[in-house]
Amino acid sequence: MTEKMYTMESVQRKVRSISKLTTLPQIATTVLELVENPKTSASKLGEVISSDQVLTARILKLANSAYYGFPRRISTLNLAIVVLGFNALRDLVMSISVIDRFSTQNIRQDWEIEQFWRHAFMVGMGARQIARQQRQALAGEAFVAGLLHDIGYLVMIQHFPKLFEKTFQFAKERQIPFLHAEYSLWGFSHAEIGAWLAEGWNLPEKIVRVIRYHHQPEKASDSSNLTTIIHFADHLAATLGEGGEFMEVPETEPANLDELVKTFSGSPQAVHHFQELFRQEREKMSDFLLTLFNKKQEVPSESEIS
Amino acid sequence: MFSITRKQQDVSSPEDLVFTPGGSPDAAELIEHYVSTITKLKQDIRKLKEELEYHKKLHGEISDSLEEFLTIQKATEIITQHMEYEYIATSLLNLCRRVIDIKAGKVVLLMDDTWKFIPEDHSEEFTRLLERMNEEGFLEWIWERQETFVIPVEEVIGLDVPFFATGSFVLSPLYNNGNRLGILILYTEKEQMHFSLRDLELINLLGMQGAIAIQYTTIFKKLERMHIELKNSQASLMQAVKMATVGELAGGVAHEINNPLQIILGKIQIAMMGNVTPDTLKVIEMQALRIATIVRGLLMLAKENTSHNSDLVEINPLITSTIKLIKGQIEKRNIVIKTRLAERLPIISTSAVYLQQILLNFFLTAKKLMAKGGELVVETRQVDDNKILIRIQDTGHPYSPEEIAQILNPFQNPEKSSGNQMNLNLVVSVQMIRDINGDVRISSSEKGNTIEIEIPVQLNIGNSHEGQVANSA
Repeated sequence: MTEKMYTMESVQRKVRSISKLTTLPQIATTVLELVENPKTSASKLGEVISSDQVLTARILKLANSAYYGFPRRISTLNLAIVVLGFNALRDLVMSISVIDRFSTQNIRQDWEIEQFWRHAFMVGMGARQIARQQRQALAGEAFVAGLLHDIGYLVMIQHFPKLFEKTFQFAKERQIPFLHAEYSLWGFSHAEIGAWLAEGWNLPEKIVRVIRYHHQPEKASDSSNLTTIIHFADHLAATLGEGGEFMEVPETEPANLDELVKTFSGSPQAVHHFQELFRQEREKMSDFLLTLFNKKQEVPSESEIS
Repeated sequence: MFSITRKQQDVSSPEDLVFTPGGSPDAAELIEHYVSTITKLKQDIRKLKEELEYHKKLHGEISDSLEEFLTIQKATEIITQHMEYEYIATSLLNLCRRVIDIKAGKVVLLMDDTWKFIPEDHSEEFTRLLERMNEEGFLEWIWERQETFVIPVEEVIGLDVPFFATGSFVLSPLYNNGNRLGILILYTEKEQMHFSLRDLELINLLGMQGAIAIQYTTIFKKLERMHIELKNSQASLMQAVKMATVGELAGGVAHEINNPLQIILGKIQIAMMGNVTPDTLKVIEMQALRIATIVRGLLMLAKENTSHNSDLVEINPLITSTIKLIKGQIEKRNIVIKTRLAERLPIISTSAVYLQQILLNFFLTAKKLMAKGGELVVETRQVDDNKILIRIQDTGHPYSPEEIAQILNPFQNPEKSSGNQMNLNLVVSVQMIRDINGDVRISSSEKGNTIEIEIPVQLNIGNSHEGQVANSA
């Protein structure tokens, strides 16, 4: 196979056709739109989601996970909407839809898919907390953006295994970060691939922008700082061992977190604070992921026993 | 022929038109034509509807967001304008009423680990509700989540309050910078199904603004309390220093009084032996007046200590009478007192008690510095139209520059304040001078120390004490 096969145009074309084949479920797109509109009522959102009973059941299971920790059992979708909020519901629908579209099994021996998802959720959940504390207007999108920021890797591994292999070996031999190998070999990276997929899925422009520029936030030119927050969360997760551990080579060089934090937070000491926030999220995240990946032992809940 | 039958009366949508077979082909064409026309019309109607919807949304949302903006701005106003919990709570609830139709609502503040209803409330309903919410773990949960949420009435098990029959509760956390301040509880008849994202986000925003107002108020009240405490402890410190001064004076004053008293007693004994001359009575009168002057000086010290007392004061006589109080004990130490008092100093309006105590403190401190005798020079001078200068010079042990810095700014290096009584006297005196809007400079050389006090001729009137000044004037 020649390197010529992987021009930016050819890969982009193929990703577009992939995005048409492995689309997000219609419900996910509708829910994204609904939550965008502040006037959407709980009943409208509930109506749309409950049309898919399997999805509804999975949402309720997640809503009752320790991650949300609501003191009582949430038995109906409508209660879940008003108790957890519209944004949380959108995040749940997106989480389920995205992991359903991609395998959760290891595709390559040397690639830890579980670590990949842990990283994606860590960045998503962490970024959501940062955005909320910063009272960013786009706090709602932070989770989805974080969840999807590295989605290009999955496209690469599943649909361009040779491209991935070549890049991986190149990085390994030269002892350079994966991202550098991507750019020096092909002139584009998992970030662009992910963005093309997201475009094909008709995701909101702000999400596409985050995916495309999450390694170069200065190019994103979004007024909301969302890209910078994801970039920061990406690196912060790495400092907690939730970073690029899904492959043998580092993804990129470590960033200067102190400098980054200044761009969206008033206090330069915030790095430590956010690190603590991430640790707390990580504690709660395990239960969420176990439930999401259906690996959790089924234990009857208290209310079911009584 | 063709015929169109209707499945139902009065139904006109094309799906309901049923073609009865058997008609002529012309008729079939005609029907097709009608059906397609109707379908097209239906499409047009839908398009128009969409357009209408779009415009409604467009204009509707502009006016709505303006309304929302104003609501939030109103909330911001609360922060800057009022520092009362009650006012904040009432305004917050009123603003929430603009978002959803609430039947009742309360702001519950967490103060010293106890929940407090604002406005104050002893009614069963909310007390019971809070109890249940707490037992259910909802309160703890909302702190953790830090987001507004809705809980239908029937989900709060065991509430059993007829007032809360149907509808939902909205709970919004009041927190700021991680500080748990309280919770906003709203009761509405609105069903959970009818809440929108906008409702929740607006109430969340209002809650955040309210929380900032509450925290400001808490900090403000704390500051106010600390200020009063500081003033009180300052006042008691001054009182303590004054008592120490009086104690120190007592010895000297006893001597001052004893002297003329002995003379009076002597004269009286001679008189009792029948030897009365007009001269005898004159001496007795003079000596009695001497005692009276001293006692009057002491009485002044007993007056209430406050900088707000505005008296009309002549500086020079005040200095002279103050010196008289301590003359005895100073001269015993071989200290010579010299005065160079300027003539025609303006009468100033200030607190005489304060001024006398300040002078006494400086004189007595100077005495201690001159253990082996020396010279105390007191000078007065008019600086300009607004200021009078009192200069006190001694030939005693000089202060070190560190001591001077500490006397003038005692709070800059608090760890250095050694509790030295002598310096404490001076620290308090400096504070008292500043209290009456005066200024003080201290300098030292090998020869001794110079203290310069500048007193404004007119008290800084125009403040709240104006009335008092006018009264005593």
